[in-house]
Amino acid sequence: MITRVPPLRYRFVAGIFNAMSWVANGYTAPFTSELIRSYGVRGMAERTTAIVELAALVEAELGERDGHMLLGFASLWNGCAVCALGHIYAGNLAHFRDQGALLPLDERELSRRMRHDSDAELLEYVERSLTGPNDARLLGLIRRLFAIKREGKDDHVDEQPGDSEMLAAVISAYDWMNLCTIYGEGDDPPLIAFSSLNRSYRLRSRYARARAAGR
Amino acid sequence: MAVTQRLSVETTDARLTISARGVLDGELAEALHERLVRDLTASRDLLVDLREITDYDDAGAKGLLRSHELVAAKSRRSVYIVERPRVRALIFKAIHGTQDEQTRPTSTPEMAEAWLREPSAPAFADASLDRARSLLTRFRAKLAAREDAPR
Repeated sequence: MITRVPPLRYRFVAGIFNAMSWVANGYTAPFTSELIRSYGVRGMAERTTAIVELAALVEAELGERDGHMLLGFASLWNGCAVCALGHIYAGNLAHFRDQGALLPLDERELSRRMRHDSDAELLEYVERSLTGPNDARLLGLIRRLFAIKREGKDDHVDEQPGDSEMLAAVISAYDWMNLCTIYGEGDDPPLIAFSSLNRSYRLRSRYARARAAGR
Repeated sequence: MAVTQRLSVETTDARLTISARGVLDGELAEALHERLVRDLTASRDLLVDLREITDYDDAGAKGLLRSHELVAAKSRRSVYIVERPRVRALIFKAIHGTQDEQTRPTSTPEMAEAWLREPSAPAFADASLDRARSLLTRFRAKLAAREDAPR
């Protein structure tokens, strides 16, 4: 494939940042060396700082589960599997921890569908999966995100003040981020929860067993 | 299906439009490259419609990158129309791999036309970074205003 392995010096510096990320956040990103190669250490730090700040704001606004889901879908339409599935997996872990049940939106199924489905077919799957009483706000935001990404159209109708700004910021941030992350992710990207929940081996194991039982 | 049936080309003085369908394999990518070599002149923008591309293989992906290197070398404004995340990701890879600041993936012909008509628009990723920063500030301000509003 056309994915390039960054030179050793970038991977070495990325290793240091990844170690820091593991300690601070509980996960490492497989595209750090590509970010450094593209933007330099300072540029990489500026971009990841902006993304982390945005993610915190979105999570504060929507809650842990829906915040990660929205970030995941901004990447999903761009085709970045590692970012999309990483955030959707994090959202699913938060839901499983809090509710003791699985959300029907399965990141493994989404991974499969990202290889074959059109944008519209993916949205249909999401609409079929998000039918719970607490899913309406998230589904509304995903539909709106889809319309902006797919058609460049927005109805500018905010369910909560600030929704327009939140969606625009999320889309914009992941458009530039995904240019790098897609390039660095390889053909078979690992599934990493982009959340401190990635550190919780017991939660991930229970979640994996529950998913396996349902598949 | 023969490659000639999977690729259609329209040329005007100002625009080269190429539409491809089916699976993007090495043969189709080679045909695309040949048309670019032949028809992409200094005065033409490029629109590549890949909405009917359903998948690609390794040779097709490499071929598309090779073709886009040609486009980037000509410094022509270009746009791709795609409607599958997997194909969109391939375009992202081509853009990043060539560091071409004059192209982007879109989802509709209308969005593609808008991009081609707007010669002063800055590069895709850089524009998005600047925009993300200002939008982040606006988002933060909106949340703060909501917190401060009387209930």
